Amino acid sequence: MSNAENSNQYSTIVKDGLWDNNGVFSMLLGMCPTMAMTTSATNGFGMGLATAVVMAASSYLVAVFRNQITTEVRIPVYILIVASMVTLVDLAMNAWMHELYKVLGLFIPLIVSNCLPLARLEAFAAKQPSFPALLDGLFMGLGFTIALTAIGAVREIVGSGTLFADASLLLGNSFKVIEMRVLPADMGVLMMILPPGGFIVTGLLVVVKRVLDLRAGKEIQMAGAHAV
Amino acid sequence: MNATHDSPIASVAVKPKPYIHGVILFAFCLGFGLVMALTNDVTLDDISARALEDKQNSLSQVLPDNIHDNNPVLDTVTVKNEEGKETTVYRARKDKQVTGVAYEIFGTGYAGEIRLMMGIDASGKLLGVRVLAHKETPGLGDKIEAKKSPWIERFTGLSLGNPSVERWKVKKDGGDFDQFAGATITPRGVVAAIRRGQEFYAANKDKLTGSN
Amino acid sequence: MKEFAMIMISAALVNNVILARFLGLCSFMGVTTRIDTAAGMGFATTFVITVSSMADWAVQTYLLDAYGLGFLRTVTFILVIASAVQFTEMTIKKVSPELFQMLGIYLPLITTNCAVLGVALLLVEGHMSFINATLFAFASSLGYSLVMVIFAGLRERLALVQVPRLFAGPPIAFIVAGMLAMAFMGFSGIAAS
Repeated sequence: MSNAENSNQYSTIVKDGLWDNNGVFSMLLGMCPTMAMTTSATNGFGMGLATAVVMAASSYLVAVFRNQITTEVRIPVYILIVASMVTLVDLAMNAWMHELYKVLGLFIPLIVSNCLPLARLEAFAAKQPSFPALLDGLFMGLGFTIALTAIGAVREIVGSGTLFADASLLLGNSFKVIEMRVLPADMGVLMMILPPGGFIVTGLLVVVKRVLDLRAGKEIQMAGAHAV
Repeated sequence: MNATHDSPIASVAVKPKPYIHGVILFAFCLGFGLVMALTNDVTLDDISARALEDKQNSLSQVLPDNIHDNNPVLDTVTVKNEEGKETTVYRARKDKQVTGVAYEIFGTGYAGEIRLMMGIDASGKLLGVRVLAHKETPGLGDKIEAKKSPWIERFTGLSLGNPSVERWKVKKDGGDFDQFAGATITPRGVVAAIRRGQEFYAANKDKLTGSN
Repeated sequence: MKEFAMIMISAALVNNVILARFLGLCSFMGVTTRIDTAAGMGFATTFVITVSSMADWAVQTYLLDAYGLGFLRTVTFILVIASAVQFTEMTIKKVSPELFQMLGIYLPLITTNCAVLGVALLLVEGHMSFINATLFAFASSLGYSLVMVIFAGLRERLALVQVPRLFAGPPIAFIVAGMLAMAFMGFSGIAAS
């Protein structure tokens, strides 16, 4: 493959992951953490980043071992790899990034029950060389982060009137400036932070993405068909 | 890939036998199991050191420095609570006299167990309560954490007679303590845990403040 | 008896796996276009959740806790679940070929259903006794099946309705699911704790 083709392929992977084929808004995968962890923008962002790390690492590993894994046992092996990566991230953060772990620790084991990493392993990493697989895992993960932060931001603003509350706990004190109060404290619509809000906001944001895609002259995807 | 097109006979010959799948799965389990065991081993000391630091931090929040001249983390006694569960009690002493004790208490929250550290002085007054670990909904139930809301500080200085035992409930249940908007089960569990923690102190006062 | 009833109601309705805990959403969105497939999926998942939760409880108590191997929990549980799915598939095939025909395509998918792992983790975290754990798992999966069937019924009706093009498909399904979740929040008044 020539260099030009390579960089072309890479930019497609990046664009697919971040927007065109976004894991949440287009493929409707990884719904469980999407709903459960988006009560605030900060939580969504943290969960997204941890997922991106696990996705990049497991995509890379699956691509490296793709010729050794037979079709019959591939699902257990993929799950094993994702679960191992999650355990490693969990242990390492607990030991060496303890402050961050205290904020994110709650979310990390939940990455195992996310079907997005598994879907990308099956659809992409299993058939591709290791570098594109790494890139796909990373950017699918970052696209996931964008989606979760967006859903979290909408739910947080409407639900509790703040935006990025407690971001300094996650990112360090220099990020104190992005903590905002958008609406007065008693104006929040609590329903948005409760479970029903998760469904409704996700549904509406899928519509927003369709509108933006239409404006840009793209076909809109009518279904996220291949949900497991 | 190409081999299958070139010679079908070769592809039949290399078609893996059924047991090979088991071997592959086993090999991956073994490999990743080893990696995890190794990581667990490497991180074990650091994690327990962090846990000890956390313990020291949480103890210093519920046992103020001015009431003790010893190190409460090292001065412990183990007592069985009414359910037969062993509780490690950390004791603060000044001039060898026990001035206060701290121990872990457990509450049932919305999404599971809530672990708290509670400090109580020799007369039975609360020195402070802090949440150690919980799995409550972020943005709702996590207001029990001191850094997210001052709610938990409300308990400092109270005791079982103040307010009276039957008022140790959230307001929704006819008690004295605020619940959060959208989360009643979490504060209800915390208040109940603190009440039980004080009853534990009252029942075991002699053992906890004894000099041995 | 009262304790058992409370566990059942709380696990099936108040803390419903799908609508309150957000587990198993992939299958909730994926296989609820028709009532009969949703019911089939619910039945198969109920069986797998109950069997694998019992096995996971035993593994946690007699293996992981006994030998201090807590860090292997996620991995072991996943493997137990995968085996439980395989076992279910073989049993159903032998006992009732007709049922196997009906459920066949859904069975392998259950391994990746996060409700199965989620319920197992929840009951281990809750330090339940074996009987309570089994009841909890069974009631949770009944709640799962109930919501799957209700939602499939709603979507069958929805398919006949004219929906604005931008909302067609997943978005309107999400919004309907949100309303269903609101309805289920009405159960939270009967929570025991």
